[in-house]
Amino acid sequence: MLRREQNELLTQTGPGTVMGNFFRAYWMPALLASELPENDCPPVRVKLLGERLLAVRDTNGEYGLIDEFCAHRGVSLWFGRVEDGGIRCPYHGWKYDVSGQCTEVPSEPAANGFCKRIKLTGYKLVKIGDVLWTYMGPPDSEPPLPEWEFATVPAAQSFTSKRLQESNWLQAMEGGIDSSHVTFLHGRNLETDPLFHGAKGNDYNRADTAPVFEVAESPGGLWIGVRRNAEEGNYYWRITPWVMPSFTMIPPRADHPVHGHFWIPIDDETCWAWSYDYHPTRALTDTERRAMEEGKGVHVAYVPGTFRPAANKDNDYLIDRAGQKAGLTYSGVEGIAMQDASLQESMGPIVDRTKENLVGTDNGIIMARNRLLRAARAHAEKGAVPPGVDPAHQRIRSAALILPPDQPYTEAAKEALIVRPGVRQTSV
Amino acid sequence: MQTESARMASAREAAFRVPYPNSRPRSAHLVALDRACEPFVTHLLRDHPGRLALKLAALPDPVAAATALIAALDGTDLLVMISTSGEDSPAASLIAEACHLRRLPVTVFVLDTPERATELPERLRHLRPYAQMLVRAADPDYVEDMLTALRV
Repeated sequence: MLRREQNELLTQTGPGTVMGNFFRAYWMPALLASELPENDCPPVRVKLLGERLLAVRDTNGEYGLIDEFCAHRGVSLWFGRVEDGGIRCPYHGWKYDVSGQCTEVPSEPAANGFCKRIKLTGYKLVKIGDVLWTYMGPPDSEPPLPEWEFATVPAAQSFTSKRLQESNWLQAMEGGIDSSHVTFLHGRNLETDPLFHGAKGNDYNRADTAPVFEVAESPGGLWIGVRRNAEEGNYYWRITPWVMPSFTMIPPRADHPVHGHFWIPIDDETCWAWSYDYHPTRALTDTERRAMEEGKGVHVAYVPGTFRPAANKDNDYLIDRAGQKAGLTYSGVEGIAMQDASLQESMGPIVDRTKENLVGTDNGIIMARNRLLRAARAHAEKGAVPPGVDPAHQRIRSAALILPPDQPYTEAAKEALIVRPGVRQTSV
Repeated sequence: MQTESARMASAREAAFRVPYPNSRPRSAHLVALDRACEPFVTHLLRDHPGRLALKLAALPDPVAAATALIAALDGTDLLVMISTSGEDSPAASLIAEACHLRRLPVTVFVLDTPERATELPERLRHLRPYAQMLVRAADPDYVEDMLTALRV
């Protein structure tokens, strides 16, 4: 449980809030690069951390994220014309560049410099991999660009998607570090999903239904280790890194691509669930890429033309009670991502954590909250640079491996848990 | 027509959740495995009648004390072992086995400092068999937060 004020601190991310300022210390995924596919393409409405913004790609290929609304009379610039190095409001022709600087007010004489006094809020937007990343914090505190491995491998080795989740970011993220639900909710999918099946590790998962958890602090957040019995007294370990504020990576299975998530607040009642799949040393196969595009693994199928999952609360997540009864899925909802999202959204937009009853296996969640609260307060009160901002904290991997019983996984798997260019993931 | 899922997942409907205490307070036994963590365990007991402590290293006969603790485990919801130095203890083993038989969850907390990093494999070797959950953290305040989160 959390006290009410702790829950509010962690779940409120609008401008001026403690957690909102904390998120604003990081580069965050804002859009898929494919949403702005060419120069002078239509702009895209973006809402992040409770701010209504507009993403623009100008004539020169420069990206920017600016206030959605014209400074003149509040018209949405989504209706604007992207032309000649900027976006022009269709109402009275005011024009802005990708930084939000007004460059033209047709009704005013150019000589009086009126337009120079008009500036929309603007944030940097940078393409790394197939994601456009933004930094929404104070310019003088801008951190180094992100170096997450999934975004820096060649394009052929990586696939990223995003989906709308209709709940607060924290309850979504807590699902990502709650390893104990996998055996129940996703157990059947380990056998049937094309991006999970066939791994030796799945056999250990099935054979040992009483896993033991070990949580350890890392420079950027936590290592969440889960061990099961393997042969000859050894342990099968699955190690999930969590990096602040909201990055996780699922431990790999066999030579399948590695997957993971970011959870980025849109506002306090919705978030983007970003999902990536990548292989450190080889291109994704056509079969793998097709499975991802069709919504297998950690991805979803969409309502056409949107990033809203096709299975959503307006159709009861297409729940199949007969399939649930027959054991085709555990919850009746198809697909790993929507199995999670359906339950997390059912908690309500912001779950009341004063009423929950956590148990020992929830220590990953307890510790993540503890670290977030401390880091967010240290950032707010002392200006401390948050964990996870340093690119060294981002050059990490998840791992699955067999270890002797007396080995601390953080030491024995030290090499496996960092990015080693050209070396494949450590997997079972 | 709106589905049940859409209507019931709204903030408006969340306000109609039945307001009642859905659990009773839990009790925990805290077991200090070495002398270094005893003051810390004493601190954790302050103002918390649901927490009981056993400081094994301070006792002349830890095994007898462990046996007494085992006899008093009925009604206990959680057992937390706390270690800083990693000394092994037959008494701890006795308690852990008793908890295992009673299906009482055991959480082991290891205060994980860089100075003690070289001792870690040995410490874990002793402690791993006991734990359903093993937590390594540098900040001892985490135990208080954990106990609060678990309603102890």
